[in-house]
Amino acid sequence: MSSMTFGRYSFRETFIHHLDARNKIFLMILFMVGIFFQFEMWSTALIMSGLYLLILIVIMLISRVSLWSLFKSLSGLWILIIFLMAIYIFIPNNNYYLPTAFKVGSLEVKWDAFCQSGYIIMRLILMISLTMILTSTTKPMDMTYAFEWYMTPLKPIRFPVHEIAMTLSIALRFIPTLLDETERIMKAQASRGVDFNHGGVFKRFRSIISLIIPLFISALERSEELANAMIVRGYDPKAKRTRYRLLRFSWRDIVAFLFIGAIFAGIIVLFVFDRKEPVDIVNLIFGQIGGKGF
Amino acid sequence: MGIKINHVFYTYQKKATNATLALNDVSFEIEDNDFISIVGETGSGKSTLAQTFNALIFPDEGEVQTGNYVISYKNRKSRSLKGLRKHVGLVFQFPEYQLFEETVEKDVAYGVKNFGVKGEEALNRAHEALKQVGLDESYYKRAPFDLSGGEKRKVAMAGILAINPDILVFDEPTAGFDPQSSKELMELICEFHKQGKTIIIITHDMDLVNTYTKKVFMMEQGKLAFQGAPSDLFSFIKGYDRLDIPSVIKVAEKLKEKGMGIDPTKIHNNADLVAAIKKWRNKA
Repeated sequence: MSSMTFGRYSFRETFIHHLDARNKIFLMILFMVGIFFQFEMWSTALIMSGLYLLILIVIMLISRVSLWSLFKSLSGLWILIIFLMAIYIFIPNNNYYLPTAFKVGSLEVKWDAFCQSGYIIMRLILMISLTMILTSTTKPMDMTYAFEWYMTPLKPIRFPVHEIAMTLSIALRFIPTLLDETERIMKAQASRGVDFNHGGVFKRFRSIISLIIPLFISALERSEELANAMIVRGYDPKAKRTRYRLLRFSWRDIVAFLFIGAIFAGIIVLFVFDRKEPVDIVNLIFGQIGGKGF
Repeated sequence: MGIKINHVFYTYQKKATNATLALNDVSFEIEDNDFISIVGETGSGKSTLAQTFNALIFPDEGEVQTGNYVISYKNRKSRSLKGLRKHVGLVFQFPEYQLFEETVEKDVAYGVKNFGVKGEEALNRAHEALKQVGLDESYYKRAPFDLSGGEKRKVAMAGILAINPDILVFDEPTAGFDPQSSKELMELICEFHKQGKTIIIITHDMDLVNTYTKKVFMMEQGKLAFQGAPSDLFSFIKGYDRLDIPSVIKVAEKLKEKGMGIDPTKIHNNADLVAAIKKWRNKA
């Protein structure tokens, strides 16, 4: 079960941990949107990706989320990388910019295939790391409150905002409980000779069934008990209620907002220029310096 | 088959900052055909210890020797432990949560089949085990989820019994049972003992310890704090808040306080108390 620790909340006294959950979610989405703007020139795209990566690493250092645990969790992406490469190599595309890498029979593999898939993987990694930073610096409960806050405009059209938030927070609350339960049932079945790690496909499938059915039953029983307990204590989803924990906007949020906002604005400006005429950052910066020298 | 526990250490969540030493240098021996109990407060490591007996947990240091099987960190991936669970049956607390088949007989036969017994023979073993726990033929084809709590637990226990292990470990067997069901269950366990099985009961119900077991081991914060006869344990645990002495001894002590000439340390069960009171009355 230890592999589940990836992205799990742990408290540390940092700038990012103290940010308002609503702000964090908003800024994360903003940054993600920024990452997905595409630029015409390869050099520009590459430099921008490098910039994003740099910002990400800075955020990680500030929030003290360990880089190592991130890379460990990304090791599962290998299959995706190979899959993407295969798609780019075998599905022909007529706008290639780069020369041929190698030829296998009549199949011509361009460098573009590798660069394209690398670019997509890069953005995926950026997205995953951002989400991981969010989940490991924000209390799950604060996150559900933030979602609830974002959904409040839907209340007038009878959208069950509070109910959804409640469901979410209960689900989050019971993840560790269910993990414990899983371990317990696994051990009980192991005492009955079930081997979860060896054997053929069919045998393993049987072992998993012996785990899943009891788990479902206990989860259902637990939920019924919980529902009863809530009813007994007079829970009414439609009642107006106050909160024990309040989300507060502070100076930190303004700083973070300005920082990410400025970056996002920069990306937008660059993108608008890029649509008119491809921007070449290398030329823009180094070209002019070089020009003066000569 | 006996169990030899040799300087066993075990830590939960070794890497975490809140790592807890669940077993701290535990050594003792359980002989063949013993009927023992392991007691201790919540979190004293008694369940952890029991899980090392059939290799659900491997000790970090030290070893547990069960018959010819050696359970140690070094052996944790060894194939030699494959048959171990056929010899040591562990009945967990609330075993009713492990049921999953459509019918009672299939569920009981499941464990047997896992150890390589085929079709008809496995069902026969299941029927035999069900008979032992007191469930007759009318139960065979019923769905386990339709049964009452007590019946479910009996089915789950039959699932372990059908494997026919030499050592039976029960973790809190009577938890959540009414006194009559507890008594029936314990008598059943005594029956297994008479058949020659080694019985280990993990509990904090001192009445069980007092009435049924010959030898008791007490765990405290991962260490073995006491081993010996139940009657000696009860004078030993006077200072522990969370461990109660058996009610029959409590009554005897109160009677002695009030001036009745009986010796509480010589009383093991209700019959002893009655005999002592009669003896005192005859004298008076």
